[in-house]
Amino acid sequence: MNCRNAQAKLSALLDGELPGREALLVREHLGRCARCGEEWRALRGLKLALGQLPDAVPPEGLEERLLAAVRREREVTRPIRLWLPVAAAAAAACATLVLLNLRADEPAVASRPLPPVPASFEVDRDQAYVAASDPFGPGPVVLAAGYGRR
Amino acid sequence: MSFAVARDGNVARTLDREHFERLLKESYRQAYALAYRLTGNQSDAEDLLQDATIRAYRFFHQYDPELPFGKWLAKILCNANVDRIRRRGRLRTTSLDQPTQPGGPVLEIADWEALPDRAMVQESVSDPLQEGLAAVRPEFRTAVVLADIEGMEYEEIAQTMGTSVGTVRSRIHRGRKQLRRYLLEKFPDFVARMVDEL
Repeated sequence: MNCRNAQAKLSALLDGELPGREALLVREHLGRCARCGEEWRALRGLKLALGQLPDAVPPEGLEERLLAAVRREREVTRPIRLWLPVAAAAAAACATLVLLNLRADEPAVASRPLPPVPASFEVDRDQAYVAASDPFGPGPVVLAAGYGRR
Repeated sequence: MSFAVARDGNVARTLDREHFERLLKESYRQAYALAYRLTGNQSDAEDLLQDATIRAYRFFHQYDPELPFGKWLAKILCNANVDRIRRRGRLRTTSLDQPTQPGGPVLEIADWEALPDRAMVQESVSDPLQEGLAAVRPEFRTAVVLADIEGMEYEEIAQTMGTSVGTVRSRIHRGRKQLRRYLLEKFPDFVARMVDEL
């Protein structure tokens, strides 16, 4: 292992986060490299010093100020929470009314009147049907499927 | 909505608030200590903790009671701190990953004139370590603080910072290097004492 590789792993070794074999290789390198050994001691000193920093003491009255902030937050959000279901129901009702109104304006496809069929066409078709049903007629006549069930 | 449902909802919210306040009372001291190390001064630490507390209250319905509340609050606090630094827009971008000019060297040392929290440095002159922390990029600083001051493991830090263990490892390493370089430059005697005391 070279110095560059070893130094990149010093922090993880220091934190006990380096897998066993890698840790062994870095330790072997530290044993024979003065420069990396110095870096190792410096990082260790730094970690120890940071760990010994005293906990910052909260300023007077912080607990009360935090609890007051929570209560203010609750007061701000509560009216919204109470009105939210009502507002949602009203919005849904409005949307339904608008949709119903739109559909009422638009004529349904099924109810549109069909164009009138000329009477002569109906007579011709009836005559053709009678001719086709006559066993002594001149021959087959092609009619629309289901015509006889009218 | 029936009155019974509305009443039950109100009772649940009251219980939630009481539960939240109880957990907050137990955890705020530790959270404040973390906020102080991340910001470097009392006023910003209190603002940060208040911001994190309100966020925690808003999202309390997502809190998993199986996990320690303090850890959950710490995670929210770290995220709030990153947002705070972004909002301030103080960060003059000096890439540590890319060369400053084509073919040029990649910076290994922070540009001390472009410190992420320059005001924080000026306010913490009494404590070389706190000043040094302020000189470290926020993501690196957070990782170092969580590892060395909060005593978290890499997996825990990764969860707190919402990143991978590999990234945490890199951030801690680079953070410590930046901190050490800053201390060597500004407080060489302090560094010498630190090593001697080992």
